[in-house]
Amino acid sequence: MHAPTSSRKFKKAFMEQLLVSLQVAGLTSKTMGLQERRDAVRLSSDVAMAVARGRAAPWARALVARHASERRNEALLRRILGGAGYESAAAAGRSRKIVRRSHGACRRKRIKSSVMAASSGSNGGAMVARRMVKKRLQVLRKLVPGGEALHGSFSLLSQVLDYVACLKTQVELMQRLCKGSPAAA
Amino acid sequence: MNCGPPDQLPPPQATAPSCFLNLNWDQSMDAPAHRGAGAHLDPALGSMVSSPAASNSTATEGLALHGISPHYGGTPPPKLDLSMMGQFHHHYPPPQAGGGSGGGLPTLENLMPMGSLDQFLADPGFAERAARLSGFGGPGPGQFGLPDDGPIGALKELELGNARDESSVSDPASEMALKGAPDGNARKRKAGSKGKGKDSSMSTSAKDLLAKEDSAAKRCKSMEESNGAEENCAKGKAAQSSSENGGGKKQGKDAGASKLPEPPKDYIHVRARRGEATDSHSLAERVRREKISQRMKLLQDLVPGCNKVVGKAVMLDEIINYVQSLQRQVEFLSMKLATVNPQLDFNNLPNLLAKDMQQSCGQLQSSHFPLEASGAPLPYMSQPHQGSNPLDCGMTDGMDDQGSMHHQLDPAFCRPMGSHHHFLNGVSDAASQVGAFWQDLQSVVQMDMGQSQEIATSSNSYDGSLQTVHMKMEL
Repeated sequence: MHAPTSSRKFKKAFMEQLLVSLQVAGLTSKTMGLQERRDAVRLSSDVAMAVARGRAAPWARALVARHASERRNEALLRRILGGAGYESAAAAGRSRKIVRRSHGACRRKRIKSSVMAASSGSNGGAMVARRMVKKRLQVLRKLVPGGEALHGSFSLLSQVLDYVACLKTQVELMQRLCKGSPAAA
Repeated sequence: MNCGPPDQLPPPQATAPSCFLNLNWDQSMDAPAHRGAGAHLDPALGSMVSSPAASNSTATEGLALHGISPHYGGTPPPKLDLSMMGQFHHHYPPPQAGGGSGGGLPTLENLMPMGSLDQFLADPGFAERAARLSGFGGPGPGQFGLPDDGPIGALKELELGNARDESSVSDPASEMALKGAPDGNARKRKAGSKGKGKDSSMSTSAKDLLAKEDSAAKRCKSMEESNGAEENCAKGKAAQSSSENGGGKKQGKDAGASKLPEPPKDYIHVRARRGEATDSHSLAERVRREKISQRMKLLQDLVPGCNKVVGKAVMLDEIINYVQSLQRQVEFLSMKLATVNPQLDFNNLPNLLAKDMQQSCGQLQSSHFPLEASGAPLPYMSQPHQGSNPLDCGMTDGMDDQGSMHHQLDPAFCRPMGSHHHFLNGVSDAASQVGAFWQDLQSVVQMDMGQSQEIATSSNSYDGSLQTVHMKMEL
């Protein structure tokens, strides 16, 4: 796995995609309110990040799918990703929902069993520490797009690593855009 | 090297029988006599040894070993291999086997000066090979590899069993060892000789053995593979394990002499883990934990303020906080973009990505910063622009927007940019005062420089504070 922050190529692709998608979003933004406009910017930057990262990263797919699962984003996403891209993303979003639902059911059971094991376990301190780590990993799982579908902490941590690196780049580029925007002058 | 010319063989045989026949181990263990025998054998044997094995290049005992190995696969039955006798014993007609083994084993002992055992044992290659006898790592037989192994393994056991003065007592034991050790090896040799066999002038007897113990070879292969899988587990790193695993299998198959250095490595690796639990579950668990901790380490580098933290839970806390802050920042920035740019009019921005950045930069510069455009700094401004583009070797290649101009590495460029900040933030002095501001601007310049460097290194401990500063300034 490569670290995208360090690669100039990724930044460049991200920036290009970001500008393109913002441009697309800008076409419909004449009548938008502030909230909508913000959502549009958010959406376009997220999609730009995901597209620049590529479909190989699960979180990128999940990010697009999450946006695609909301009806109101359909028009915008269709324009940014193209028809086929949107369809696949929406399909992924639907299936992901199902996965999440079933996964939640599974997890409930597993938590129950682990609590049982913890109460019967003799090593209390280690158990507490492990449970703390587990709880944090669960939180992290919710933070990373597509994290719920990941099994095992290794894959989760790799995704977090990738996602954090990309997120950093996103923040950096958006800061530049803010500074560079005409209204800032 | 396998087949010594027949006329050269008689001398060792002529000398050997004296040892063969008396079978008096106590006396033959006697160092001087033994050395004498060894010295006697040397010239003849040395001539038969075409190429010395990689590991045993030490004086007479090395030669003695070589002297044994040429017999292997060797020519007519009477000179049948000593080390083979133990293992293949049952395949051979009784007279040869009996005579060979009866005579062969003592010679083997005699050819080895016991004083040299220490050297053998001290020699890592020998020790490893000897120890590997039980664990089919599949070392390439090389030239002398396997014939060597048996005796050395036996000798090692002898040594461990205080054999020096009790060799007559431990005689059966040594024989057992000789028998047992090459037995284990036979399968390995089979795998090795399959690839090698055709060209290496195996004798007919050896080929016979090959055919006879084919089933053993198959068994060996399966065991080797399972062993490879185990090592695979133990390795952990996927790439490394796959490469080494492939290497190991190849070794088993074609067993070139060049592969010789590798098996010890494998072995050492496995051995290093011997203190720990070795069942596959705990191995896999260890590998998993290793991978996770590696990821955590990478995250530690990525997340600021995480490297001082001890403990996994706290580190995860930091990571969670950081991810949340980044997400909030994205939200905030998108809000800001939506606010400052009511029409979401980014149409002019792609121009900056174009190849004619130099011109567009100048235009946008003048249009967005009219204060400068009107004032004196304009020539000053535009001039470094043109100059700095070739210098713009840094990370902002090809993706410069107005904002990214603040991140030029070129100090000559950063300074005027620093002046922008002041103008942007309401320091609406005359443009001619830029020179007078120089001292004050230094801090801003430093910030910009710092930020640009920080982008390159992507260590953003500085980033958060810097960004908040900017926000405060601009809001």
